This record gives sequence, structure tokens and C-alpha cells, in this order.
Amino acid sequence: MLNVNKSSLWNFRNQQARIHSTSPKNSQNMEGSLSPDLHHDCETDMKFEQRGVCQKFSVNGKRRKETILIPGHLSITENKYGEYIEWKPDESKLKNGNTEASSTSQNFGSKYGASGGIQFHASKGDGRVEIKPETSSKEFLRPIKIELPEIRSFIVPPKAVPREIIFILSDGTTLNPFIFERGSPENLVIALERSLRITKSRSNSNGLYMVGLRKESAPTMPPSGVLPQGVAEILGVLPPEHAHNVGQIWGFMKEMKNDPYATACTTLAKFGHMALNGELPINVFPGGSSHQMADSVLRNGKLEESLNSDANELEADYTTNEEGYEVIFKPEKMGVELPPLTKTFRGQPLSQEQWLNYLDRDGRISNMNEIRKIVFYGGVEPMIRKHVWPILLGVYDSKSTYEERQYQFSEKTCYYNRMKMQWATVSEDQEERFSPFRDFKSLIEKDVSRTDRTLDYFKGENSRGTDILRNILMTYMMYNFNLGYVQGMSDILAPILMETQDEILAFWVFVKFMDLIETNFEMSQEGMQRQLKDSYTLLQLVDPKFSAYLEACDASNMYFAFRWLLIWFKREFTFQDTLILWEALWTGLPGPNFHLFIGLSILEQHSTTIMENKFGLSEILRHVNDLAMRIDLELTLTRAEAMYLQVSPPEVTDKLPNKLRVILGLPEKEEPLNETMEIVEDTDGAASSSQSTPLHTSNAEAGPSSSSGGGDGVEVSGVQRSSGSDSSLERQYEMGVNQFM
Amino acid sequence: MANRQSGGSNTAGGGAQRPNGAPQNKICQFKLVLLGESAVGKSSLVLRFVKGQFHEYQESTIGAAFLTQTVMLDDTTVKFEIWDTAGQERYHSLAPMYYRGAQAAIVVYDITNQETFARAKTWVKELQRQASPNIVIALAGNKSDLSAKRMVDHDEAYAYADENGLLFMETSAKTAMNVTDIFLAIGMFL
Ligand SMILES: Nc1nc2c(ncn2[C@@H]2O[C@H](COP(=O)(O)OP(=O)(O)OP(=O)(O)O)[C@@H](O)[C@H]2O)c(=O)[nH]1
Ligand SMILES: [Mg+2]
Repeated sequence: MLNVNKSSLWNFRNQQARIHSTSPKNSQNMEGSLSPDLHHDCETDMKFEQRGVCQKFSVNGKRRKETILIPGHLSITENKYGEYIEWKPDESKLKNGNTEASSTSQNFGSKYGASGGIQFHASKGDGRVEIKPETSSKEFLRPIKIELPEIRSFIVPPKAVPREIIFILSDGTTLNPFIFERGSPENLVIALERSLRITKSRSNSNGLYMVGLRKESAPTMPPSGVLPQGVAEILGVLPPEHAHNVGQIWGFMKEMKNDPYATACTTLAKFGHMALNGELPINVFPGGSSHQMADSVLRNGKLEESLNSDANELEADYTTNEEGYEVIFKPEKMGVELPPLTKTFRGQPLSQEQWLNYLDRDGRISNMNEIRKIVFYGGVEPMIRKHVWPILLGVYDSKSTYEERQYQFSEKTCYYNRMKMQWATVSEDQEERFSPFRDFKSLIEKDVSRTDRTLDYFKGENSRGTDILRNILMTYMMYNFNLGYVQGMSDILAPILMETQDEILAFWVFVKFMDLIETNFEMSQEGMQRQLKDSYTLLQLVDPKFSAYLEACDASNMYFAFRWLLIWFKREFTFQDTLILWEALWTGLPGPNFHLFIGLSILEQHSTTIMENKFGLSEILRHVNDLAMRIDLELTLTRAEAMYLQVSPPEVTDKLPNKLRVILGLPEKEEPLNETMEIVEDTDGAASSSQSTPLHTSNAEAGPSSSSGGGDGVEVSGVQRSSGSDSSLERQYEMGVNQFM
Repeated sequence: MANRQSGGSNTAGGGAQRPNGAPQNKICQFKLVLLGESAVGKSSLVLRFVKGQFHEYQESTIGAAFLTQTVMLDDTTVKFEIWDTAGQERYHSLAPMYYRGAQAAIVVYDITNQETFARAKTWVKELQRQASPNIVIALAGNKSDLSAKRMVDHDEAYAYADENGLLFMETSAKTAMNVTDIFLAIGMFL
């Protein structure tokens, strides 16, 4: 928080306001006009202290995730203004200049504990990589100070070694994990319990704990976006007999129209207990104060609509346990019984040896489908990516020979150079009269200079990488002037270029990749809208509870996933992980629109956190943006595949409405279904009737004939599969493959 | 001391614990959206205001970002809920969803680039037409540290702002000049 003296501000135009940074969150603000804590005089009590607690930063490293551990100490302090949790880097160790880098991989093994000092580590096999403290440490060394009521929840991952704790704040911010080199998170939690009311989350498997204020310090106003926990308790929970009638709850909410504020504070609080514990899949109060809560409930047309119409429709099922009421929305009417998730596994990357085995004497590829499967499950060994990518993406035909490919490459080289000459020879004078060109060029300039500049390859003034990035984007503009350049394209190109370090090859790979996702960048943005909508439709199928939650907080447009889908998760993962993910997606397996399932899979991993924290629209966006570099790729891929397999067996797809069948690349059913699944119809039904996302096109055409070839049971070495993935998987493979044929 | 040092967004949260018995503070919270051409420095301004940092190679915004900052203005706690949007024309269609319901907007241009100023004007028009009627709009001429390359005249922008009833400041996310001030000026206006 900034403390400002109003009178000094009246002159803001001429002089800097006197601003005192006193915010816990912003005690980091020690630059610029913000002066550090001015309350030196203020007495501080240390209520808990633990040395040897590192803050863990995850950054996009050259090859993979680099984890940076900054040693420090964690404490709980109190002064007359409040109680805080604080973390400070360990000055003594810093002064010694002990910046030894130690290498660990993403899971810190035993290597972790011993050495002190700043452990800048980059996991490059065994290599110890030193990051010069003067270049990078500054932002890692900011102390942290959080006022306790700011904490909304925290996670103590049960299996993490060494032990760690991750705090989630009321605005949706997720702090970096604190790693306990000494002591344990449990001790900290015990200390926190003196001031905070801590409850295990309902589905505690992920180690999530909810935080509330102790009763005696219950707020008079609720913290943003949260129903005040105290209120519900003081006013008592909804009596059980009411709890069995969900209609009554909705009825209460309708009353809010008449006297929103009073109703919000009394009636709503009665069932607040349920909402508080996350059983009600709605964020009743996405706003701030009670007034705003009431307001936002009223303003939120969707919610109101659901008050009026859905109350009777929604079949809620209550079970009571010791802790209270559990409301499970059993969407019987909407539900298509999905089979349980099967266990799926990742495999080894396609090795050079395997690759060579698939090539005949002339370089033709004998079994592209098998290669696709291996790549889908394990990616491609970096060494042979240059050879595999062009074939996977169709730069060359898989039936071409070495000789043909060589010839084509020389042709493509000429073509590239010709297009490069075209833009390179546009004079300044010409540019003046060529405004579309000039606009694209200036966009490219703006983006090239801020694309992945922290990575060595793109570092420094006019680095080689940055130059080539510009060349390729400018050339692509000439290749496809209708599209030209759109923000996001530099993100797509950067990992491909850095991996191949070959201008011409990277260009043609980029061209093919862009063919797949061109609609993401269209002027109309229809492609993006459609994918966001399709994601939500799929979510309604695979996770009705969470989709209802999103609907209730006005997030069913899924805009928080915009970045994910636009650039295929590139900002969410390190380059290496991004490439493994893209390789899987380039195979077209297990079927169309698998990339949407990647998003669903990530969401599924966080839906509990989101619902139990009762995040509203803005906090969800914040939370989702904060996930960058913290997502486990293997888990994400295996869960995504499992979800895909869950919805694709014929028993399931037979019952799906056309809207979903189209997303899965199946032909539309002709006779009107007796709707087994009722998906809230959108205002514009365009998406369901016309072609869906870009990846469908050829599949929808392939139609039923392609789906009959399943059950061959192709076994691929190096690919582990569960026995559950049977003929339907094969069918999906065939379909996926078809899109590239 | 009159200043209360509580922090965070839910300032009232610790109210009962406070021994100094200060009168109940006013708390106001509002939604603020940043608009303007790509690369004018919207994200940089927010980063400066919220974290006190500046990144030379701040990456472009895709979709949107949400940040909060809480400020004590004398006896009022002001919580800014800041939506930072992507600037490129192509993503224009997303903007209404971000300025919908916003009480304030900062429209940013780059003083070294005349086109960004023209774009700022169209943003202002759009807001005046389509955002909530009493939205407070501030115009920020950013990158004022690059005055050697200035292309947009200060007085011209000032006159434009005056005509349209906008708050106006030249800012620099790099040197922090006027950054906090423009946010606070909005806060006080509300
Ligand atoms: N010299 C100078 N450079 C700045 C200033 N503010 C931002 N920049 C630089 O301008 C570039 C773009 O800044 P961003 O904050 O990413 O711009 P943006 O408006 O958020 O752009 P989009 O997200 O694409 O809409 C970055 O390289 C910044 O470092 C400033 O006040 N002075
Ligand atoms: Mg930005």
C-alpha cells in the first residue's frame, strides 16, 4: 500500500507526490518515487522466525526450466498496524558473494540441501551454470511482506521434498514457493493458526488450506471477492431443512432485488457457509464490499437468469457429512455418463536410431503413423528435430526421397531469398507510400525487440537471434501479406528458430505451423472466439461443476485462456516443454482439437483451487496468468489424453449433441437427437453448425469412413499404453492422421 | 501519526486489532483499464505502479493481465483493480469486455510516436461513446524520458485533453516520473 498525503498531491503536475510505501505487498517498491517504510520508529514483535527458507523462482531457461533458490528467512511479525508474514533474503550470505550455482533438476533431490549461498541453478545435465548476480539477482532479492489478512489460502504439497509452502493472496496472486531447507511448513502453519483460522480444503488431496480470520478479528467489511467467513458463522448456517431445497436458496437470492444490501448481509449469509466451503459452484460475490456484492449479483444478468429459470432445473444432490453440507450438482439432465479416466503414460522421445530405421534406402518413410505415435507420446530427440519437423508438418512429403527433399530445399531456399529481397529492397521513400507494409514492419520491430530477450540467443543489442527473427517475420509478411504480421507470431517463431538456428528451415517450419493456426490471427478473431466457446462446451461435458462455477462468475467466455490458445501455450512453458507439447500437437493425435484438451487438463488441475478460493473473474485471470512456468507438462499431457479418450468412445459420442460431435471431428447426426445432453444454447448457434476450429476441416470431410479402420492394435516400441485405450484410440489415431493426408 | 499502516486490499480485515482506535477508514475500490496502441508502455506503467519495477524488454501482452494496488490517500483506502490490455488493433474486439464497468481508464500514447497519439484519440472517442457515462479518463503521454525523440507536442496533447475533459500527464515508466501520480490523480478524482 502506498501512503499518500493528499495535500501534497494537488501539485502533482509539478512535483513528485510524497509517497510512502507501506504496503506489505509493495514493500518491494523501493525504487523510483517510492521510499521504503518510513515507520522505523514502529515497534515490531517477532512472533515466529525460521531461517533457511528459500524462495524458489522458476524461469524459462535456455534448455529447460531453471530454478533459482534464494536463501532467506521467513517470519511472522506484528506491529501496531497489523500482523505480517515476511521473507527476507539472507544478507550475510549475499555479502559473502557466495553465488555458487548448483545444479538440480526440477525435483530437488538430495543435492539441494547442503550448500548455502544463492543457488542459481540451471539444470543442464550435470553442468553447473553460474548466473552472475549483478545481472539477474536484483529482482530475486526483493523482500516480501504480506499482511496476514491478505492471505486467502495456501498449499503445502504433501509429497514435495524438500517441504514447501505456496501462498495464494486475495487478489488471486500466487507467490513463489518457499522451500524449507530447515524447519517445516507445519511449524509455520501452527504459528499462523494463532492469528488465522485455517481449515483444510474439502478435497484436500492437493494440500490446499483455506484461510480465514479468527472470529475475534472478523472484518467489518469482507475482503475482496470473499464472503466474510465470520458473517456466516455469526448468523448461523442455513438450517438443514432448507438445505434440501435448493429452490429456496435461489428464492432468497431473488429477494435481493428488493433490498440487496440487507439481503446480502443476512439471508445470503445463511447459506454462506456452503458457499464458503466451496460447495456452491458459484462465486456469489465477485465484487468487493457487501454493497458491491449485492450489486454484482444483480448486475450479473446470467446469475439472475439462473435465479429465475434454472432454479427448478438444476438437480442438486446433497449429502451431509460431519463438516456440513456438500452440494453436488448432479447435472442429470445434461449428463452423458462418461467412462472413468484411463491411466495414460508418456513414452521416450523419438530417437535417431528409431528414426533411421523408419527410413528406407532412398529416405522414404515407411510408417509415418508409427512415427506420429512415438512423437505424440514422447516428442523428438533434439538432435533430429531438424529432420523430423519438416516431415511431421508436411514441409516435405513423407514419401519423398532424400534427393527429392534436397532438391525441394534448394527451391525453397531460392523462394525464401527472393521474398526476403522483396522487403529488403523497399526504400524509405517507397515505404512512405506503402502504409500496410509500413504498419506491419513497425509492429514487427516492436515485437522483435521484446520477444524472449532474456534468453541468450536473443540477448543484447541486435543479437543474431533477434536479427533472424526479424528477417523471418518480414519474409513471412511478404509470403502471406493478407495476414502480414499479428502480435503473437513472434512468440510462435522464437522457439522454432532457437532450436533449429537455421533461418530457412525455421521459416518453412513456421509457415506450416502457421497454416494450422492461421485463424487464431484473423482480423475477425472468429477462430479464437470459436475455440474459446468450444473449450467451454467441452468443459460442460467433462466437468459440469466447474463449468457451472465459471458461468456463475461470468467467466464462461473463457477469455482467461486466450493466451493459451492463441500461441499454443508458449508463454506457459519453457522452450523445451513448449516444443515437446507442440510436437505432440503437430501429430494430430489422438484427434482434432486436442489442443483444447490441453487447456482443459490445466484447468482441471486448478479447478479446485479456483473454486475453493472462490475466485471471481479477475482473480481467475490472475491465477491463470500466474501459472506460467509452473505447469507440469507430463501430467498435463497425460491427463489431456485421458480426457480425450474419455469422451471419444462410440458409446459416448453417439449420445453427444452435434455441437460436441463437430468439435471432436465427427460427422453431425442427421435426425434430431432426443437431447441427452443439454448444453446451454448460445445466442449465436453459428459455431455448432458450421465448421468448427481450424483443425477440424479435413476430418469432418473424412467422415465416417475414416473412423471404421480401428482395432488394428498397432504396437509401437517405446510407447506404453494402457490396456484401456483400445479400438477407440486407434480410431482416433486414424482420424488424427487423416488430417495431414 | 494519522497514517494507518495497514496494508493489502482488505484493509478493514484487521480493523478490530488496531489499538490506535482511528476512526473507521473509508474504503473505495475501483476498476481501472489501460488502453492504447501496442508498445506505448501500458504494461510498463502498471508494473511501475504496482511493483516499482521496469523491464527494458517487457513482453507484449496477450489477452489481458489483472493486477491490484492499494493506496492510502489520507484517511481513505483506495484499491485499484487494474486491467492491462493488449494494444494491437487486431485484438481490439476484446477491449469492450475489459472497459465494461470500469470507473476509470488510462489511455496511453508514446510521445515519440505521432500515430500512437492518433490512436489514443480514437480510444478516447470509443470510451466516451461506449464505456459507462461517468468514466474518468486520463491521458498519459508515456516515455517522456525520450524527449530528444519527441514527436507529440506537450501543449497540443494538453489542449486536446482539456477540450475533452481528460486528466493529462506525461509519464515515464522508465524513470517513474508521474507514474504513481497519474494513478493517484484518478483516485482522488473519484
Ligand atoms: N524509454 C522508455 N521506454 C519505455 C517506457 N515505457 C515502456 N517502455 C518500453 O517500451 C516497450 C513496450 O512497453 P510495454 O509496457 O510492453 O507496452 P504495452 O503498451 O504494454 O504493449 P502491448 O502489451 O503490446 O499493448 C518496452 O520495451 C518497454 O521497455 C518509458 O517510459 N520509457
Ligand atoms: Mg502490455
